Amino acid sequence: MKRREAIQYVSSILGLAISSPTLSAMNRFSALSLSPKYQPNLFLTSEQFHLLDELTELIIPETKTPGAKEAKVAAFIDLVLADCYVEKDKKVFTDGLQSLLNRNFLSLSTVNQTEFLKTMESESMAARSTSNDIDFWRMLKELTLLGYFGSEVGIKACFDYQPVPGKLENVKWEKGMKMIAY
Amino acid sequence: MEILKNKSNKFDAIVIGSGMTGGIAAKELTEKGLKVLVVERGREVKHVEDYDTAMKAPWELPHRDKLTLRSAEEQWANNRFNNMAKDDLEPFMTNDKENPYLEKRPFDWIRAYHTGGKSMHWGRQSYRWNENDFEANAKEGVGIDWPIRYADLAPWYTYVEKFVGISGQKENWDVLPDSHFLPPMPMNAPERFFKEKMMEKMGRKVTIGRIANLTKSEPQHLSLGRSSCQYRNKCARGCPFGGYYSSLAGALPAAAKTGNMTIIHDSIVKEVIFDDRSQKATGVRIINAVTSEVIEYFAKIIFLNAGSMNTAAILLNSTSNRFPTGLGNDSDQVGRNIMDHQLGVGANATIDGFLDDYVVGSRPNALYIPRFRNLGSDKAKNFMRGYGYQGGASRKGWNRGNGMQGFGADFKDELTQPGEWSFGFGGFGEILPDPNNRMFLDLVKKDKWGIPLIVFDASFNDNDLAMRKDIMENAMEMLDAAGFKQVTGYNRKEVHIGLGIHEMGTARMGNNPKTSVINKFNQIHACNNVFVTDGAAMTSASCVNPSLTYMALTARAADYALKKLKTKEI
Repeated sequence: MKRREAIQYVSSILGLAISSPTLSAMNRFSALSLSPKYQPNLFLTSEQFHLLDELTELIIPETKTPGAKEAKVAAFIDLVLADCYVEKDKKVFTDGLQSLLNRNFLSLSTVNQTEFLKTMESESMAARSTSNDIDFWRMLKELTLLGYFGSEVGIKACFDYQPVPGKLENVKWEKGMKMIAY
Repeated sequence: MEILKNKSNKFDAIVIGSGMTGGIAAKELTEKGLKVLVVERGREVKHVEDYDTAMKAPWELPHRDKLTLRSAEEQWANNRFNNMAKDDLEPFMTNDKENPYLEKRPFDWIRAYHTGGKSMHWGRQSYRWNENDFEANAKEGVGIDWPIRYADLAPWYTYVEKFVGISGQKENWDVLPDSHFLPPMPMNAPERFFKEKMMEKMGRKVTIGRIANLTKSEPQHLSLGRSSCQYRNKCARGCPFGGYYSSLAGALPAAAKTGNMTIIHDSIVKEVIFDDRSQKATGVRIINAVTSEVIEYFAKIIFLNAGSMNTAAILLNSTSNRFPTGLGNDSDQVGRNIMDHQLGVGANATIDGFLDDYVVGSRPNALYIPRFRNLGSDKAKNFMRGYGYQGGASRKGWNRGNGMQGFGADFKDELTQPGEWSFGFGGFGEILPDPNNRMFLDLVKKDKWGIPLIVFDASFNDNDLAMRKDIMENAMEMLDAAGFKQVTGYNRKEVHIGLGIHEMGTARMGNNPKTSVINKFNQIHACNNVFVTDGAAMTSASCVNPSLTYMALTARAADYALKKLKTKEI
């Protein structure tokens, strides 16, 4: 949240003059890039990254709203792979990408790419009934959804983003309404 | 090592810990004119100013809801609670690697060493105990009897509730006495349906959660800069609006206002100093966590509010000629009788219909189903006491896509629309006091400040395990009775005692000094100027969330201490 917006929210709600500690807090909030610990760590090779970028767009394509590429989903996945997954799971992901690269996935027609992914998904769904092991498709889809619907581009395009709703109300859902994101 | 001793180290009272109960002790004592030193072992967190993640949008948290490998390693205990130390909360959780503890039997110990302690990210559910909760031990021959009854605490509940601000619905139920309430939060449409069905089909009560969020900000809240809840449901990050109660937003600012509070941080209490001549505690010896400097502070009375386990550890580490096994430990009960609440067991379901219902605002609250087991005519076959449920209904969002087949344009559009409703709730079950469920100090292993490590040796017993099974089965039965679909129960096997984050009982109250550590006013039996008023004081656990009771006990004990100071009886 931008500093000015944050100050407006707080002041309108408290109905008070903004106190200096709050003001300095808001200054800090806006200046804060969470911590120097969180530096993007490019984990994938550029070839893998390029493929991932295309895969995420196949899962969440541009429609009347932006797609995964515009939301920089591949960069999010790259960071999360580096920082959050143990070696074994990292390898499941890079092996999955590598196997698609070996098959020249990107040289297939869009129709054939889609068919290929559908087969991959069916196999993944079938495996889930017998095993809890993570597989490439499951990781790819989960991270793409999180990367997109958690991004600024995705949230602002698809949802009504309300960081400070200020009320709690039961309403009727009507056509044309957007889901609220908080 | 040089020990600093001078006049500036003298106070009327020392409060050890700045969390849920330390805050209340500091407020009560300073408001009555005592000069109070509050000793916090962790870093300083300033209300509003230091809530670094509070206003972060989802995309501003680099890993969103993924746990980093670093956090998994450094916060090995805290992350047993639903991977709690993610980007949003990690700065406000204790680094377990730097603050290790030992497990003879596994214990899930969730800690927050900083100003306000766990009151910064507590669940905020606030319930009074009922009359039976105080009488059950005596009636059933469990543990020892409480030295107080509901009537002793009732006025202090009211007193604390007015200050804290508890939202809830008045119900006039014996099982769940009403608090002094702010307006209740609304139930959504499927929840109202569920409430009716439960009464109709099973005769079970359902009410909206009673929670320390301000649905309305009264003058006593506004004067501390606390405005009403904004329904962001990001409470645990700290609230810039002061919408929920924490020691940081409430008691500590109130204490600071008096001009009588001094608060020091990064100050680990090694021991309480006991004077053999006067047979009283004279102060505390602290170690500065950053410089390792040892400093002594002195006062007429000492309140121990370090959190149940650390409070007991301080007592055990405070040895003297009079108390060779730890201050106040004549009964050998310090560190024993660890209790908590059952967690990680319940059921989920999906609901047909209500597709034209939606909610604006994110409610930081749930439904509450009060205890029904082993009350009145209800008798469980194979366990004592009972449990309450917490949970509710919500509409599924985009993340339902993970379990669905499909991808591409239509799939994406579908996920931008609300999904069906789901309903879920979990049980909070009472755990009985058992002297063999205990913690003690390791004789050899020490932390980096030379203080002995805590060893936990506790686990669920047969009563607990039988209750867990009942919690799951009943949750499923209730969801079935409501007519919901895809009812699925869960009873997490990896849960240990401690995960409820309601750890308590390690310096219990009682009338008999041979079987208890503190008396009915929370004074150590044989050292009457030391008060224990955090969860350590608890003689039994009830099944309701405990913080409100801790705060009421603290305010009551502080009032008593002030009276006795005046008459020079302590």
